[in-house]
Amino acid sequence: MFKKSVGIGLLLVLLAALVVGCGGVEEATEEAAEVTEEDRYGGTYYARLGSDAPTLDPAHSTDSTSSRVIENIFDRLVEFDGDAEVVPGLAEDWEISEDGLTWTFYLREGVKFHNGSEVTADDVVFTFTRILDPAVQSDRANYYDRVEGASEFRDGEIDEVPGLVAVDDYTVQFQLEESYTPLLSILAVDSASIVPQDAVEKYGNDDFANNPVGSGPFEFVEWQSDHQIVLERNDDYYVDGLPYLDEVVFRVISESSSAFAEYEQGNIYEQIDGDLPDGQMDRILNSGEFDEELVVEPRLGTYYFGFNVQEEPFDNLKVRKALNYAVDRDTIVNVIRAGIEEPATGILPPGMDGYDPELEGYYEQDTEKAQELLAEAGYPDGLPGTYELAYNTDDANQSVAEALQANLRTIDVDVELVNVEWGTYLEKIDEGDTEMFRLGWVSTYPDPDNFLYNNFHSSNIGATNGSWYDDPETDEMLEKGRGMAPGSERAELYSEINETLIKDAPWMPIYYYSNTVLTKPFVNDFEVTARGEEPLTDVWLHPNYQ
Amino acid sequence: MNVEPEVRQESIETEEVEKYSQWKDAWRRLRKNKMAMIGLGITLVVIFVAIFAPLLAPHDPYYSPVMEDGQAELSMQGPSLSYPLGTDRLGRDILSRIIYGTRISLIVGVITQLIALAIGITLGSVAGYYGGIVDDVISYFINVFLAFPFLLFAIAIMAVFQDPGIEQVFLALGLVTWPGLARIVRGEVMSLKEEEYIEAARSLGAKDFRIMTKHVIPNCLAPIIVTVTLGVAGAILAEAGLSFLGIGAQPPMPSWGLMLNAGRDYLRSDPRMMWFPGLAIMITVLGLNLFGDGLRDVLDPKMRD
Repeated sequence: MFKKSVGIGLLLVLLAALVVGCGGVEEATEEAAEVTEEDRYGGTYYARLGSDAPTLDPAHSTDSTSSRVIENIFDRLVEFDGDAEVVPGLAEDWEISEDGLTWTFYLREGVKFHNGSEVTADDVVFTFTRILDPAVQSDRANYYDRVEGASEFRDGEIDEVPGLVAVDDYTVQFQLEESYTPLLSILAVDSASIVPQDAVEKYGNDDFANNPVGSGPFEFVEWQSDHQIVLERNDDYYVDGLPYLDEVVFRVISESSSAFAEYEQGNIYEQIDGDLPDGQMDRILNSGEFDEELVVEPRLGTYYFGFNVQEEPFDNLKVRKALNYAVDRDTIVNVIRAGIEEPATGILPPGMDGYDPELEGYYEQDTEKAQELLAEAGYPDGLPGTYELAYNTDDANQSVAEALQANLRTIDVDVELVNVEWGTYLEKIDEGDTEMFRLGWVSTYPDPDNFLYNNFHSSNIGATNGSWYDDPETDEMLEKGRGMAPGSERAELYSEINETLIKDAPWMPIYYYSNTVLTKPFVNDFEVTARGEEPLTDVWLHPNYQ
Repeated sequence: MNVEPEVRQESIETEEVEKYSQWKDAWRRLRKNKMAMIGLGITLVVIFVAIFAPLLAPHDPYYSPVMEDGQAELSMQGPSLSYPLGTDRLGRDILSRIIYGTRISLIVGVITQLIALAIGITLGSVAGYYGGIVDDVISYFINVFLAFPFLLFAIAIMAVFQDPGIEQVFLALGLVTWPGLARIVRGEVMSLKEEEYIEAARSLGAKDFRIMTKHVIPNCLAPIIVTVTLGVAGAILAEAGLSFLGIGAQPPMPSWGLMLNAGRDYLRSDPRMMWFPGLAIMITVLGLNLFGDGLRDVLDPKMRD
């Protein structure tokens, strides 16, 4: 008995220590001005991933968790700068012919992959041939549909892609069948990362994900599933003097409140990817404690619930509209999301061509109208039965899903919440094994083609078109938009598509994303843009924290 | 010649009196055990609350005035007259949710134990009764199942289900708890089958099935009742644990574990969200455990540790 009570007493003390311990993190003394260039080098940066990365193979990366790690290991022909403008990467220069069909990239000489071999035009050709290879089954193959011969190659009719040409060791050419404006941006996203042919052949297409070799600022060290991914400094990085950090550790912490506790303890240096815990929002935004550490940036993304439009009763437009009218977006944003985000009025987010704040057909909450629509659809007493509303495991997603569930009860639509782990969740959506599902789309660059083509073109069914939306007219407009030169005419077209899609309601858009990011005061030059977290190439730690 | 039937009559009566008094005696001794009576009292109150939840709860536990009626100001309200324990983020009444939560907890406890009973009694009595290779095989399985840590094993089973829910919790916990029961039943049956009245039944030509259901199992009820009572408490705790981890009951169910989970974010700013469901779990489990312990003392003294 005595021992037991001692044990319980100890436990209580421990618990108390835990709770108290969360508060006391010493502030960094700001001496940044006195830090010399040399002092910036060194240290380990602890980052957080909200879930394990589904893959580290660029050819298979379709999600933001994977891409955060991949962007640090690999380089691309071209890169985005902080304003999402395309700037030179592995290619120091490029030319686009006047008809828009021939794209020539001139590679830097002497850039080395982490395994020591040089980055050559052959690796570039290999990279994109691999993405198109039907055996690899990359979800991104359709990005390169307009490359000459890509379709035939994907169908297995020819063994090489004639549109991908290594002119010499450092010159590579893309021949297109039709002009394709978004190509330059596409070449700057993580899935277009250049991979070394010898390493992929050594590990095989499947195992390359576990042994990623790139040319980026950081080298892959190890990946402990569901625990952490460790990267170390690439001493041979092509940008002289970079990166500053010796090591980067991405820790997998799925719960935002645990992550926040670790952040306060100083065990991780940033809280991004996934949301800050709801219960702490008030404190983070209003207490003043985090003013130095908090950045809120609008993000090129939309948080939505999609319908599987091939499934009854969501194949009925009136049902989809009715549900859209039942949603109280303002309350969800203000009460559940602490007002950080902006309620969605359309599918395309602000900052993207085609975004229209006063979009016609926008669904302001109107319960009566929703009920009328349901009645017209043949369900005067609400939908019969219970429908599945799937979301991936995360506190914030759960809160929003629960709020939506309550919303839908007002029009007698019962939904059952089904929570699934991220990797499995994406598979479930790709397979069309859903009725309603939560997802967000965050564009990595401000071109509406990326946003709409991926989510709504029929060729992406089974990949990124989770609603299984299949509409020939939309397909046609989307195809047209890809070939158009940038300008107001193109923006107009995308605005029209946006409107069509809102009226056809394959989605219930909820809000436009914001990045709410906390970084420790001793972390310098950490950059968050509308695309999300930029690679950690320039980041350095105050010498006291290295 | 007249005497014989009377004698027989008398002997039957004595046996009945004796049987009757075994339970009566247990009850008499249980009544003297203060802790057990407190436990019984708590358990009865919990059962009462569960049955009459709709009459006791001041609000609909699922109704969210915030989302369904646009009353955003009702989110995260502190205790007040109309919401004695305050509201959660969706404006739902926490007291009503705790009251309805009693139902979920008890149902989980009972169904889980029924599953465990069905498997445990069947396998345990078969193993104990037949012995030999049958016993070896079944005992082997019992031992394998017992080798896993209880909650970890339940989590592993839940992980097999891609979409967790309360029905899966029944199954998982049922599958995890049967070996304990089976082992106890097996032991009892092994010693009972040597008893003379079993031999008598057998010599009268009774089939194995009849012997087991009519004579063996009724005679090991006492340890079964004790195990099940404590098992209900264990299952309630395990359900709360699984739900807290997000792999048990799914929102918007007013499961106590789920409510704890929802309150976790607010541990510092509004600990009330965790206190009340936590207290509910503690009181219920404490009640059942006290009662179960008392039962064990009076019904099955040799099981005492």
